[in-house]
Amino acid sequence: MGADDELLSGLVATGPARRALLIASMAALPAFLTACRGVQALGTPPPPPADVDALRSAIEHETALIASYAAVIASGKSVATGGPANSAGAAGRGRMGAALAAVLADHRQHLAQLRSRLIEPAAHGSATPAGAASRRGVILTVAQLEQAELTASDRLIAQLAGLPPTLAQLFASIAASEATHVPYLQAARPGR
Amino acid sequence: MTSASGSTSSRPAGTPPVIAALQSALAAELATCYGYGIVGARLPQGSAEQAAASTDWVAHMRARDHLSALITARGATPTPAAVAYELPGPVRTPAAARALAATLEDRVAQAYLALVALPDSSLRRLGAEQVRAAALRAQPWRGSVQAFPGLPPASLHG
Repeated sequence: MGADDELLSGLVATGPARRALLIASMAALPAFLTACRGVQALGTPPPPPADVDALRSAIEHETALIASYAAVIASGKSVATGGPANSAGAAGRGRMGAALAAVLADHRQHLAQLRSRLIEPAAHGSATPAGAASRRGVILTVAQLEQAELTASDRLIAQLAGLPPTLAQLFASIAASEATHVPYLQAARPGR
Repeated sequence: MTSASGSTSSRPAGTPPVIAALQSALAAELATCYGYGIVGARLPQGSAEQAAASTDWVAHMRARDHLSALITARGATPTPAAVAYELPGPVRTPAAARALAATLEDRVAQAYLALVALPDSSLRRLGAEQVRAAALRAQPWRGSVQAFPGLPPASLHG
């Protein structure tokens, strides 16, 4: 639990072994090759570049969001926020359920694209254990999901400086997508 | 979203890639300002949607002016607007107007992503915030969400 919290908050000081990481983008390739030339056979592996940390952090947060959406959908509490209590009928649940499913699909696409840009050895591929976010038990309502989306969007934009151009564009696009989830979910609330 | 002040103590660098990206974003904004006139004309008079189109149109005019100022501050001349722009298709109904608005926002988002690729962190942030603003405007017009606003499908892995 504690380790999960550290990973999700990006504050972990000693994460998984950080060797043999590379960003799967053309922009990062020259830097990686240069690093290879400078490392002796048994020398200390160089620290990962900042973009690897940013990418790993984004993957962890995206994984947590997916787990949160799955938990809210499974809990059936998707209509217990925001809308007038008396209007939370079956139609409202269906509309919100469809909206949650659409947003969840977006996040799964985000995660797939982020993961495609980070290649790690199999032994280190589970930086965020499955279900970590749900075990944290923090996000239970749609209103909390909306807040998490805003936080995630701002976090990605704050990390843009210094990233390779293609990764920065991916972060910016995902940040935009996540921001749009808020009005989309709000429009699906019962009574709207 | 966009800061109105782009002033700095010294004149910012206007390298060709920076100017090209700013001009590209400006061209997208100019076309979008034109397009929203068509959108507004095809939505029901006095409707909430027409008011929303007007609000979005104003946002794009402000963004246009901001980009022009950024280009001028870098010693270049902002590209002027064209008299008319080719539309992606006929716009005869409110549904077509909504689709056009969403398309306009998609194109603006794509243009601003070019700013995100620049090394200048302030332009990068401006680009990202404008991609987000465009996506937020596009969402109600489209009525759905997109996983990757502004990114061409060909740029995605897999």
